[in-house]
Amino acid sequence: MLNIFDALWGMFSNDLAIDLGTANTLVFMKGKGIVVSEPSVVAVQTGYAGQRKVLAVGKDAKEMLGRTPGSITAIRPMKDGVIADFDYTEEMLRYFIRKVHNRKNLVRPRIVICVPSGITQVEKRAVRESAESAGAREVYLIE
Amino acid sequence: MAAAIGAGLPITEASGNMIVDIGGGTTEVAVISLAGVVYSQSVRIGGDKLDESIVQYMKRKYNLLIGERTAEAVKIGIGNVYAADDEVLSMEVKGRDLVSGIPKTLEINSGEIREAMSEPINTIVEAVRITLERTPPELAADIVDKGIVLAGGGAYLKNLDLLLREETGLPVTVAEDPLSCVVYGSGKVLDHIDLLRQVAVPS
Repeated sequence: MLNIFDALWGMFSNDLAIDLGTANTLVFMKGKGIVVSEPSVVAVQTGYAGQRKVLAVGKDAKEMLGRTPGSITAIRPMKDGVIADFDYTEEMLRYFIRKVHNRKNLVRPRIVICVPSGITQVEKRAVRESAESAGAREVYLIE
Repeated sequence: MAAAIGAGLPITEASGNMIVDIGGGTTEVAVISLAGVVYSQSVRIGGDKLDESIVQYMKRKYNLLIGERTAEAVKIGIGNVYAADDEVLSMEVKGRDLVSGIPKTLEINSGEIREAMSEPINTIVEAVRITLERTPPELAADIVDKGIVLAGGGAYLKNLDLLLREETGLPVTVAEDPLSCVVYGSGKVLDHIDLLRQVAVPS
């Protein structure tokens, strides 16, 4: 029974493959090819009360790298091949997934994420969970 | 693993494939056979480290402080890791003078950049050599025939294939479209769900 549903879903869903790289993040959509290829950079603005909000992700954020005033920090959450900043990696991943997979699409995608081979259990879990919270039906990690 | 699939290597066959993926933060060298990793080595050297070494070099030699983005532009523009011919490229670099504190422009050439990057590049070569040393003999024999495949953004480094060929004596090829290799590989396994289950990392 489950298999029938899976097959049905598979027909409608836009499965994604994501290369979560240190320098660039690429997203491949089944049947469409590469749909996103942007630097892995997140720009964060700190408000007067200390609240933080994501200002830009990808190319726009890379432009800001090294050129930010005190209230904004442009960070590369994946520095040195490991996830240096959990929250922003998650934020970035969600941003890219949302960008290519609009929520109007009822069927949730199956997502394959490519992670660095030295990644720890905790980081694996973080990547998996952020993809799930961004709307993945199934998440697979490959090295 | 994904890079190997993306590069079109026959990873499911019973023969050795060697892939070197030079990414932004790490370089991963792996020997793959029967859809599994036989031996792999990961070093924390990648594009970022190369940029950083250019920044350090400029600081040491010219007292010029340059940004990471400028360093990256220099690496992409005139970076060269092996002196194959007499061609010398040069480029203007803008930064801040550490002594006077005033912004200025300098002209540097590819020979200097090669010198600046030599240390991290040697680490990559070393990682390849260690992997070759630890590869079981049958697979090593396959690699002698098939050679090493380079992927990742670092594969764009000029003459890196020549350097590795010189150091190892093995044929070295650069994958087609090395930057997107990994994502194409991951995309390819989406079509083959059984292969995906085989290569996915257990959690």
